Amino acid sequence: MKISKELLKGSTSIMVLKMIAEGDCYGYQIIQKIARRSGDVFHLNEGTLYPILHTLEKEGYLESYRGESETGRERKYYSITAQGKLHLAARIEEWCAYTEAVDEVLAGESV
Amino acid sequence: MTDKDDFDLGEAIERYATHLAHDIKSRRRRAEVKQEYAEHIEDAVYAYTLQGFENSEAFRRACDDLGDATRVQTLLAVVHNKDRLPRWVKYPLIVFTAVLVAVLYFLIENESFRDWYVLLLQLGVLTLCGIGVYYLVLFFRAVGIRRAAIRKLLAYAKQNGHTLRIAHPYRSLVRRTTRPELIYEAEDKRYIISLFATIRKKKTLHLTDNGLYSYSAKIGYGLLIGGIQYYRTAMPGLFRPKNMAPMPNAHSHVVDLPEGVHLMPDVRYEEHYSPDKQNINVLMLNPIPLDVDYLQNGQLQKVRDDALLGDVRLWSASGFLSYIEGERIKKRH
Repeated sequence: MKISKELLKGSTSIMVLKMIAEGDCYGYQIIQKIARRSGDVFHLNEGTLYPILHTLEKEGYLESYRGESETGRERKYYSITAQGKLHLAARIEEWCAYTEAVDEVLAGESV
Repeated sequence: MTDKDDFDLGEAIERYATHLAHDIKSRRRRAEVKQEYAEHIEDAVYAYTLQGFENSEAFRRACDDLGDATRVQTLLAVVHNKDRLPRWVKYPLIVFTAVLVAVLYFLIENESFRDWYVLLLQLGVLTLCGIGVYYLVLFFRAVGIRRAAIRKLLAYAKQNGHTLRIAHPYRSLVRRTTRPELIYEAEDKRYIISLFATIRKKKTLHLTDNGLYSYSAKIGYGLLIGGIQYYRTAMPGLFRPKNMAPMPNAHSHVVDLPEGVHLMPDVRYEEHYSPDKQNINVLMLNPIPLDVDYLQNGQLQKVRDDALLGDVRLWSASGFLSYIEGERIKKRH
């Protein structure tokens, strides 16, 4: 099922932060993790992932460093900062409240 | 790396990554982002080759997965090309410099400290001129970035068969498009709207900053022209023609003025010799005023350009410069 870009837009950065919070990773890994975790429902636009990562890094939520990947090649890894963890927690809480409210509305009278 | 089709994968990846990072102004950041995309494409190509695709096909699929290159370029430019000098630094710096110049102007009235403060005043004026130039550069850069963003948007629309509803202030774009009847329709119209919205949002460099820099351009021009005018009128020594004799020390000569004529105490003077060696006395003005003041029989007299007093001709700095320029033009003809 293809998810509309409208819905995806608001949740991309929170998903990216969450993946990085679970363990440092590089860009391509993030794409693979999200696809796998979502059961192939989400296929992030790979080209726009890096502007998101760079924005999060600029805002202080992520840090980057060069590290060796499992294939033995050097890649740019991202790790979440303390500020990033706080931001992620706040965004998750916001998201849960949002989805709960939408569920409540949709669960109303059947059409 | 090549495959049966003589496809140079390494070069293709390098070229495409360079293309994606093309609009990033900072060389260092451009190199970093380019490397990151190149590594990403390498990983994607590797995954596709494991599925059995040839290098060229794997590369094509990897690039498709990255999405529209124009959009990626624009997003990267928005993230990485933000103004580096934050506003909270720029504005206090301008205010501080203006206050410094004003304070020095008052202090310069004190004879015993005059030379030092003249020097500092010059530094202050130069700083303001530099700030003016800085704002002018930013203004023209903002104009260029906005135009480039709009061009990319139009290219994207044309490439994907979209048409755009062009709203003010982009109406002038209508004349330049090949499809003058613009009707909004697109499957991914949200992208086009968001790009326009991105251009309009205060967080980006484009429209809002361009508005700021339009105002700043006026300040920049004013500071620059004001600074140049200051130097032309207050520091005529800087514009002394090459064939003029060296200036003597301003305090070592006494001007032979007619009886009853006195110079005002705050007027400094210097003596310059014309090319035919006739003495011409030039009065160098304190900063800003254009008129020369002197007392004649108790009456205040002003000299706009020059006045003949006995054997002495008094010049204002601007009048003298105009005279020298006129002599030069006469010689040429």
